[in-house]
Amino acid sequence: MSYLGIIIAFFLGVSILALIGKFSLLEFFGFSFPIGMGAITILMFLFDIIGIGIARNSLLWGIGLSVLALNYKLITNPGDRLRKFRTKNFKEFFFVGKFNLVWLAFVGVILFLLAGVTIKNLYWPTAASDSLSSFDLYGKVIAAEGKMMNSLIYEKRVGWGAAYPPLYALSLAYSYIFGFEMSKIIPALFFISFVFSFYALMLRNVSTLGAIIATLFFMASPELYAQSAINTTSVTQAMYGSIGIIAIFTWNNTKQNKYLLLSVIMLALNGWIRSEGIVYIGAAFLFYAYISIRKKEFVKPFLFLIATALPFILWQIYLKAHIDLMDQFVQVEINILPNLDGDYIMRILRGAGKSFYHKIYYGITIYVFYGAIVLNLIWLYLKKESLITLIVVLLPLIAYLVLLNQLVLRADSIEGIMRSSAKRFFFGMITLMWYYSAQVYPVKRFFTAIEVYLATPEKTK
Amino acid sequence: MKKSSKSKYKKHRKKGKETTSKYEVFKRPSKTWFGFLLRNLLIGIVFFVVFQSLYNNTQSYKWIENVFFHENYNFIKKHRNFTTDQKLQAKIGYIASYLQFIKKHTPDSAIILMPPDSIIKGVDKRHKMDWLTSKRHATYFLYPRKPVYQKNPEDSVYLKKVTHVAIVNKFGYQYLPFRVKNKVAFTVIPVDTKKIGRYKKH
Repeated sequence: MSYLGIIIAFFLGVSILALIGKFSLLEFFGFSFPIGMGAITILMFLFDIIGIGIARNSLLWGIGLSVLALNYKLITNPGDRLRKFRTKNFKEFFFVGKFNLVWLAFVGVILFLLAGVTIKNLYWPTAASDSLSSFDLYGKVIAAEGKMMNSLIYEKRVGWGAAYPPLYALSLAYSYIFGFEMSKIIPALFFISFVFSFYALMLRNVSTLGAIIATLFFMASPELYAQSAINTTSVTQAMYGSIGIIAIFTWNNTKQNKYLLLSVIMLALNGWIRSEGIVYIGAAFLFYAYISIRKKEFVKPFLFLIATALPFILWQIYLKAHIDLMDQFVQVEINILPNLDGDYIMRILRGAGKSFYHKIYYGITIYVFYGAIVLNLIWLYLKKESLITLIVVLLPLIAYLVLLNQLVLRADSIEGIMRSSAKRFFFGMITLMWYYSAQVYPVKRFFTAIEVYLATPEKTK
Repeated sequence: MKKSSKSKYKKHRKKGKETTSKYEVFKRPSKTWFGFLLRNLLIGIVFFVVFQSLYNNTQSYKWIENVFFHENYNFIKKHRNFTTDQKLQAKIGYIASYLQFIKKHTPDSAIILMPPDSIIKGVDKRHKMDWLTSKRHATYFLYPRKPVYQKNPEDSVYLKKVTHVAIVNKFGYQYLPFRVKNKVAFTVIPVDTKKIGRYKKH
């Protein structure tokens, strides 16, 4: 029964993806679970609001009806859909990369690392303090009591995580509802999806070899890799945020609308897992607004902003509606007036610098990123698009630092946060740095040339 | 020499052959499977050498191998059949085993009086009992039982309804309405004498 829950989450994700466009098998594999799980958590939240208990039966009904509605066309006119599927380009559907032995070796290393983190995830129960006292505990009790406003909230028996947007806690609750003894299947599947999504999108932007090497280095960023085996929100949020941004770049490069819709969904879910997800939403909005305004489309950027920020807004309304109970779990407040305390800003910058240049946290990421910028200097000057890409990659980082500067902290000092938590804040930026480094013109060109050199013999007529 | 190469070039042009640079061979896939293997091997070795030196010269990726892989997998290999409770004990220590003990020996409806922070902090550091001071951490292990703390104002409503006392470092016996002869260091005891039976030592 437990795995049925996971399968239907995948199936819901596949149904949503199939509705927004024709994706490859690899893309289905990467995006289905995060989108399906995200949609289920929204369903759970809506159930809770209208007073339907969050339980196995109600979820099976809700997800079942959603899948039926999403596949309405397939059900009412299966012949037409099958005809379309038959005429589809199968080669494109099954494309996972241009074959060569070097690529295969990298695939082997990536699968080995993925297996390693998955085994660790599935073996160890939750033991991280944050998750024990917040997300996993909250998820467990939501599953047991069938509601979000449960005894933990009334008796203040849960940590700050209760005030976080509920995607993660509800995902863990979902695993318990479907009978898992431990909830670690959820971070395991999120991380696998993260790696596949990143690679699938990189394939649309750079050569196969460039894509696989960037994927290996992004996933092997030690801190990100290690945190993917504990049960907290950071890696999952990095996935939603960074994949949302890369999807909008992919839309701009390929002009295929399905990637824009994908970006909207991923960014919306990124705001449904941690409130600071707004930094990714803001960066993507500015990028989309820049492109739209050049085409004299003035309404679209606002529709984009509303769609991506909707879950975040929904959660803020929910918190306000339950302020008497939820306020005790809110960790920070936002200072609207700009905080111009130079010393405070320096403390944030120093903390961020310590994370980025730490000997272990992100491996060679920052140095490769600098190298890519230097290699790309001429194109940054000559091609406006290249400069815009760099700005959008850096925007979430800048916005994050600004946001940290504006926070009024209730639970910790800024030094404490920068020392213990900041390393987790930057996972999404690390992912974007690898995207940027792989797609700059000289690097892209270099790996494309190697790929051609390594390709299988061409069939001669 | 120059003249001869120029004349060769002209000859080719006259014959209508396509002119190609001498590097053209690198810009196309190999024509044979043997060439394909050779090229892949060559580039593979180059990548291997580059990545190997990168790996040897950075601490971070070694950390993945040493801490993440070796330490974890040696443990997992040795203790493949551990239950979830045993894994938790192995991961977070004595506190897990103590709270699991309390859970096992109390009913779901139990309201358990926990010791004050000063007592918990006085426990041998090797036991790593610090999380016991946190109601949230204790609740993770004990739910639906309610651990209550005198320091928390929101728990005051439960203090009169306490059904069990968590004994830590022999502290807590004074809250029992009866005298206990054999005082063990860590256990949980029901307040109601009828429910005592024989309490166990943890």
